[in-house]
Amino acid sequence: MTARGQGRTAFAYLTPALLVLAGLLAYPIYQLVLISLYDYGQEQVSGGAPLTFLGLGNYQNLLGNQQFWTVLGQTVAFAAVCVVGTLLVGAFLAILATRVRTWVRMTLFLAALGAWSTPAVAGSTIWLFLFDANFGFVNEVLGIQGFSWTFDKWTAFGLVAAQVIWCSFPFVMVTLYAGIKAIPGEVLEAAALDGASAFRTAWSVTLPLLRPIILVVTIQSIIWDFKVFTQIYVMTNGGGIAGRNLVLNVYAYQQAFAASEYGLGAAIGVVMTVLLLVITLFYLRALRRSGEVL
Amino acid sequence: MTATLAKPPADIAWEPEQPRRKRNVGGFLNWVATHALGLALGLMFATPVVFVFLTAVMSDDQAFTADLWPREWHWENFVEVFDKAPLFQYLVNSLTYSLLATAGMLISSIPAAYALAKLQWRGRNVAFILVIGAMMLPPQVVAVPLYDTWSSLGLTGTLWPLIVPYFLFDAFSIFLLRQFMLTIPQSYVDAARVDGCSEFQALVRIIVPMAKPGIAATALFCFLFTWNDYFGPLLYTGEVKDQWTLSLALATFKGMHIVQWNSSMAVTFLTMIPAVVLFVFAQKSFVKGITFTGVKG
Repeated sequence: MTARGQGRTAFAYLTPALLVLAGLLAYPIYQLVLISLYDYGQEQVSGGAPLTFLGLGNYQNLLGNQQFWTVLGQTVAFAAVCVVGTLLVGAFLAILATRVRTWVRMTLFLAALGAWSTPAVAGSTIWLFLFDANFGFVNEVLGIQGFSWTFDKWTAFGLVAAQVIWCSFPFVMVTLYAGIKAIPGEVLEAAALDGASAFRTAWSVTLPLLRPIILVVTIQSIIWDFKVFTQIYVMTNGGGIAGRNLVLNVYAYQQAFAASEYGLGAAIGVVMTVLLLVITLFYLRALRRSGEVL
Repeated sequence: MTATLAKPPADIAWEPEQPRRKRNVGGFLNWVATHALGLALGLMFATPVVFVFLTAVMSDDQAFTADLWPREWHWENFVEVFDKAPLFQYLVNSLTYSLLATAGMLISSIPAAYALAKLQWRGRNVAFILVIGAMMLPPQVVAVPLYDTWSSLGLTGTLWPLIVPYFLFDAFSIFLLRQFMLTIPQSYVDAARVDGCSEFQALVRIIVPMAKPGIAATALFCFLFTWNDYFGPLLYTGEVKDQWTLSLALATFKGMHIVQWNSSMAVTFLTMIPAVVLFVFAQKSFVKGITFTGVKG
């Protein structure tokens, strides 16, 4: 088919998606940005006070706030730990699953599925139970009754990160497993016929073919872990003692709803979205520079 | 292209499914170690779910303590929760939402992913970046204007505002499917075109069968996501109780029956079952049933 013909088909296939993108997403973004430019609090919502246009006032306010920078740093570090942890655990289990008998594989998949289908709130509560200072199963096994995981800032972050990894590794595991299984048999057969060792086949054939899949799990993990809300909110009781376990999403919620500063909350939302977009675009660009098909 | 359907050869080097009898001791130890590790990790990751189950069968009093093992097994807890809330109604609502959304996602996302993965056209990269950008918006951000739109259509208070968009667009699924389709060598599509397949035929006859594991995974994710969705049903059906989904009901279960951890955990456990059933079906697609052998003249 000619290039023009392909373009027409592509357009037909994408029309619904583009319509939704334009109509249902562009407008909310526009509104979000608009709100972030106003002093929009409880009084303005109820009509008790007139709307004041601040321009970039909310952003100035935000960027000049020491706490914002601390929270931003924590968010990036926390997300990085979660992303790397999730990818390592998920990839390891996916490879393991291709190498074991069906009954072990089913155990692994059922555990993954259980982790995944546990609602975030319930999952966070269960983890708190298991890691309870005095009665928790984990402390009993380790013989450290009375040790509070949530009191210290870093153990609290560690515990939440472990929970986040627990509920997001199934996505990576199942996706990579499906990816490995989707590789045409003949490609691997050819490699085997050419005398490639198992390691060589994995490194030179399977891995390059899996790159698009690795890309999708990496980007998804970045997006999810950057926006963690429930786990932090439930497990550190709304962001820890004096807000020292805050991440951006919880911070935005606190500003917008708890403090009724909707304008400021919207500004944090815009900053988060832009940051995520920038991170992803840099990542895509780096991949393209190294000559990969995206 | 003559794509001959054939069963995968029984014994291929890359599929260490069947351990060879004549392996040396080192190979056997390796096999034992791999399986033991797999089993141990599986059990470790399942601990929280086991904990949910054990709490669900405890008595009302014991569920409130720190005990891990039930003193008496109260299996009737799983039945009694049905008296405490109209769980069947919630189950039907959850199934309606998840199944329709997943079906809609497949209809809308497979062609869109194909256009982004296998067709050459100007603006493809822009469209791809738009799709990625759409995934980054926090749902809370777009909630208010979307709610207004559905409200003016008179559809708030039902699950339709959550289902209909899947028939048009789901950024996450499009992205995921596109990546799966990229792993399929372009030569298969080209060969189909040379043989006179239309783009639609190439999609339906070549790409969809080959991307089956990826499609199954994407469908599973879509189902699980909608099944666990709490924010969406809360926003649109929060006021209309007979439209609630299980995950929404689950969250309020604690509020309605404040001290009953066992009931809450029993519902949590019951909520997981459909996902497991679906997985058992989906995982059959993960096992290669069909292989295309050879791209011949």
